[in-house]
Amino acid sequence: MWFVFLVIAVLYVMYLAIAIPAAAAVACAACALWIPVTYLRVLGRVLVTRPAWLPDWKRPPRAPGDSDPAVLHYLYGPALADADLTVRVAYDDGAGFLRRSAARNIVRSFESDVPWFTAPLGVGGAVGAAAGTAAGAAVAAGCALIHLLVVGLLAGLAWAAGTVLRGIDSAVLRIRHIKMFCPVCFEPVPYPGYVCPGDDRHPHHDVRPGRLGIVGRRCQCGEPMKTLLLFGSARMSAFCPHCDHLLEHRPGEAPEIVLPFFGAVGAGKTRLLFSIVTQLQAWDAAGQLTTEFADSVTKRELAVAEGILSSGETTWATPPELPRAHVIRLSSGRGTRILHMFDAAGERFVNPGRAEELRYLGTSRTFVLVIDPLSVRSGAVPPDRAYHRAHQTIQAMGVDLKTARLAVVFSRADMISAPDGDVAEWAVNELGLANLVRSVRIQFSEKSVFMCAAAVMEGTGMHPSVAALLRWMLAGEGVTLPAGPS
Amino acid sequence: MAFQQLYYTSCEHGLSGYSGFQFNAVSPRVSSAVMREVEDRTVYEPPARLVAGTRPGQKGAYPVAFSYGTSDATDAVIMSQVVFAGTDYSGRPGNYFAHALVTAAPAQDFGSLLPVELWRAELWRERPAGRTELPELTGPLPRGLVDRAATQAFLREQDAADVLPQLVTAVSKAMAGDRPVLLASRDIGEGIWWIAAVSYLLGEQLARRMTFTTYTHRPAHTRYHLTGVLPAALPPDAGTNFQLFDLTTGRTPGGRVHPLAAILSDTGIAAAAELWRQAAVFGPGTEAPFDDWLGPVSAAAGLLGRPLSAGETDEVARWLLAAAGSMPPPVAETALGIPLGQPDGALSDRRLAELHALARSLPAPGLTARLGLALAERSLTRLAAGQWASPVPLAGEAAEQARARALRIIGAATPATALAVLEWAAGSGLSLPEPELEEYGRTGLDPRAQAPELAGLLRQSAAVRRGLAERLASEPPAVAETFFSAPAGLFLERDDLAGQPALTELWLVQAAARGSADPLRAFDEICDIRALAGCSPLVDGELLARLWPHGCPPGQLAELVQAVTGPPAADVLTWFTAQIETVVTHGALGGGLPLLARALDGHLLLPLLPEADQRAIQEGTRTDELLVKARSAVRSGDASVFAGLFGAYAAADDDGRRNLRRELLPLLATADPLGPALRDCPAEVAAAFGRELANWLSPMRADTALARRVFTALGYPDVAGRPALAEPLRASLEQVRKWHRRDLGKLARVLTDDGLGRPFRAWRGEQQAGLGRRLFGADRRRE
Repeated sequence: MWFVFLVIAVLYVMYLAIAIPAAAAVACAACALWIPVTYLRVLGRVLVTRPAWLPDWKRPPRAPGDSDPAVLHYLYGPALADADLTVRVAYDDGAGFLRRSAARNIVRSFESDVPWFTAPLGVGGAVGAAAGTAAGAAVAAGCALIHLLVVGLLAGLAWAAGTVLRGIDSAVLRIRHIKMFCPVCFEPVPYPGYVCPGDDRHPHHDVRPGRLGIVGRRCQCGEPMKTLLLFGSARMSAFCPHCDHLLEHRPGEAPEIVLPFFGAVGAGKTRLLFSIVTQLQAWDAAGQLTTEFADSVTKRELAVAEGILSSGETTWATPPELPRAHVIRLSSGRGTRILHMFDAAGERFVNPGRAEELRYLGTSRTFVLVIDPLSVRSGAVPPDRAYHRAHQTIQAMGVDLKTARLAVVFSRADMISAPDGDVAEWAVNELGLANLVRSVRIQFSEKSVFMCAAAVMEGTGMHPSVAALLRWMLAGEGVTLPAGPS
Repeated sequence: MAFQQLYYTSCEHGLSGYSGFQFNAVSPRVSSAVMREVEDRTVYEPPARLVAGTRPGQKGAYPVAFSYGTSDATDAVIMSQVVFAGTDYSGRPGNYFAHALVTAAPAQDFGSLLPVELWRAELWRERPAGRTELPELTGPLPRGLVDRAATQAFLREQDAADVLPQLVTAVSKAMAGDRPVLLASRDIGEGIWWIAAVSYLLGEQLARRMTFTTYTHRPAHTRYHLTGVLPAALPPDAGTNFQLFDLTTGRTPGGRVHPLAAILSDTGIAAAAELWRQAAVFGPGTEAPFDDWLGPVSAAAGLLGRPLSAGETDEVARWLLAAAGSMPPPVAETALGIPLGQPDGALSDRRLAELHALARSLPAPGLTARLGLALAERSLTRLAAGQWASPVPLAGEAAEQARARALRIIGAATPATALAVLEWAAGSGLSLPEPELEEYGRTGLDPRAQAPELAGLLRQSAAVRRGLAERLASEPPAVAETFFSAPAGLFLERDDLAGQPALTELWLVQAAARGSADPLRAFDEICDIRALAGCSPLVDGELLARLWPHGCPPGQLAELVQAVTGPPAADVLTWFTAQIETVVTHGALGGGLPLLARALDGHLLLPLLPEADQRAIQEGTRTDELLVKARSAVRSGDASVFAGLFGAYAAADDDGRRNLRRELLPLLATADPLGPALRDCPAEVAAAFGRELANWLSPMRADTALARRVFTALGYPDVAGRPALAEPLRASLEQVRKWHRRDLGKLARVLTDDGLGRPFRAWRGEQQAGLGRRLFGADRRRE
């Protein structure tokens, strides 16, 4: 009898030796495969199919409060939220699988009609499931890690791409000598803000590559926007990030040149400005270059220039307010330039503290001092007073005078007999401006003295002195002006 | 204080020492900061069309820039008028003349004038002074061309109904820090009237805080809340950076009109002054922003007779709740009366309740009563319509009126409504008079209709219960019985039925029937009631049948028998006979039958019973005595008593055997030794005993002592020799095989002590022979 028991026992031990490892191996393989497969399946749903039943992000990524009204770039927040969602959903699915299948089958194996047969399978299954779960979880964690690494890598690449693109954009601007400038608040514009083309109530103060997009961004209204001038952002409506005024001259497309006119009250600054505009329009009419008023204010204020000069009317006094630039787009064979011409009232250079408000003086390289030779001995404000005030201001604003250029323009050339020789000598000898001339020679490395007649000559157009002055002013600025008299 | 004056123009001689734009003359002690600000604020440039096409001589065509602002540096008020001045000292066109007034005490210096009323006043100068010093200007200042009548006349000619509230809204937003307002019109002279209209509507305090200018050539740089501009000068971003009102195209910023702007526009220019004067009495202070005036102005409008909308009324109430604490009580009381003067329904119940609480805290007794009554009226109306309403704390006259209204409602109310009114009245502290409630119970309720809320109503009010009891007393007994058997009947209490003996009897019968009263006690009380009322007979068969509709238990029957002291009526005897027969038939050995038998012993009822019943009662008594004796004997180990019991069993009929068998089996289970006790045991009893043993010996119980007795009994010759006795015992012992090894071990030890170890091991050996079957699960499948 005991022999029978012994045989049965040996057989049963053999059964155990086979059944438990086999069950463990099967359960281990099933769990080890199922969990990563579940993770990858969920990842596919989250990233690709996005079924409606998928739960929401636990912590929806949000742009900072002061951010532009645009949608976050996928890699700067939503990608991490997706990774988190994938892990959560995969964990729930995996745990459900373990509960529904593995754990239940193990329990059933102990409750069957033949527990001596099934219980070893359950034991093996439990051990295998535990090992498989650990292995599967490790593989799934590896997949999640790879996912996160890919997200991080892509985010890093996106950041690098954005940085490179910003660098290229800045380099292109630098190579093209483009420095942007606000004609209203006089501040240099590092990069314009842009109004959403779809809804002008959505201003974007910094569209450059970043959290909200690399090559493009999407406004919260859904409208796509470009992020760099390289990609054509200049075609959108720009505004100054400092004062929010619209920059209608499409900044960033062409180098900008700031040309301040200064001088005493009634020196003829406005008239000279008008004559320059008229000269440019004449060249434009002759097809020698293209001139256009770059914004609506300039258009409104300079539309009357030629008429006033042609009629011989006196130009109107310039009110002593902070001037706004007259912005002109000038295109010639060699390229396009944007001229910001400032005509400040003479009073600004007389009253203390008023010249310092003209901050555009600090961004210019070429200055135009206008002197009315007829007023020098009339008891009006002496021209050297305006010059010295402007000079001090320019210097105080950090302009390197060794690279600055100054045109000293004596107006009313049509009303006085022009000197035969050197105009500067004439100014010293005839007008008694030795002190001013000496100062100019010492303080500016490049300077020139002109006699200008801001008048339209009958049959020949603008007085040729204006064209000569313009050629000198824009020399070296990349604009090819017609060589001869117009 | 006085206004400092400044003249600014392009002149040959002025304060700067050089010719050009400069201050021509100023009053003493004008600071340089103010001068700089005046210089900046008064910059003037004519419209482009006039620069191009009109000769400077035509001065009338040039817009006048009339401005009112506050200095950024000194907080002083700066007013200015800038006019085109044609050519300057040198003959150059583009000159302008600015005359500015500066004051640090505007409230004092302006007096009753609003800034806008200085438009084109005679004080403004348009030519430079011959000297550089100007006198200060003291008040009162002369009024200009603007006044309320002229402004009203202007508005009448315009289509202002839509624009004006929007303009006031936009200006209020600009004053609160939103985008400035641009007012574009073809004629700048038109703009001053719109500015005047807004100023008058805003009232004195706010109008003095509203800065404006009638004209600027460069609106992008404006520093004013409201800026007049020509359409041609509108910047491209006018629609986004400003709140643009382009009167030439009808364009407005849109959006919601501020409710205060709507009230002001609706009030009109002429009446606005009185409105603001009244609002100032309630006012939150001179520095309050526009939004804070909504409540006071709405209240003032209401006080001045303007019907308020529901929203405005609610706004007044909301403001009052916050502001009443800081007002003098009479003012607060006046203000509190304003929302009450509006059409009913303008305020929500919650708001009305909050106002009621406010009125009580002031205190304002009159308003408290009005509000309380209004709340009560509203609540009662809702209750009458079958809706819920929250209670209202009421006192005095309001309570009286509410009580009267509540009674009127109850008079014609359904039980549900009456219940709601009663609960509301209780919550509100209203005590409703009992006679009216009794009357409602008597006439307003229909006991035939069992409304679900009737129970609650009866629970709520004793007066209603009393009234209903009176009504039930007047109805046929069936109605009362039906009512008492329904859920609502539970809430009629015994005290409510005082003076209604018939109703009380019905109530007691129903109470006994549903188990809330002991039938015996009910029987006694009914007998007492009948005795007091002189009714006869005191007991009848119908009463007994109704009190014990499902039969009388032997215990109660035994007690009831004692109540029969004389020859019973036929129906009573019939009922008793039936009940005793039931007891005899179904038997109740060890309990009711002996009790009944004792009660009937020598009773006059016994001879009146059928003979079989008499015999059964006597037999039952004997068997009961045997059982009592057997229980005592079994405890002392005497098994001889079973012989008598088995004899009684054999002599009994089927019912008697069944009853006796029920008593015998537990006795046998406790008998020790069991073998002698089973001697002469009838086969039926043995089989039944075996079945019971199978239960008692289950593995769950594992009763070792019982198993020992059974196993030992199997060895008793009289048992072993009678298969009818032994087989049931052996079959029951199969349960022992399923016992846990520990219990089996315990049994084995006990039996070994009794010297039965070997037979027991042999018996267990039979069990091991079945291991193979168990191993393969055959047993489990059998289970």
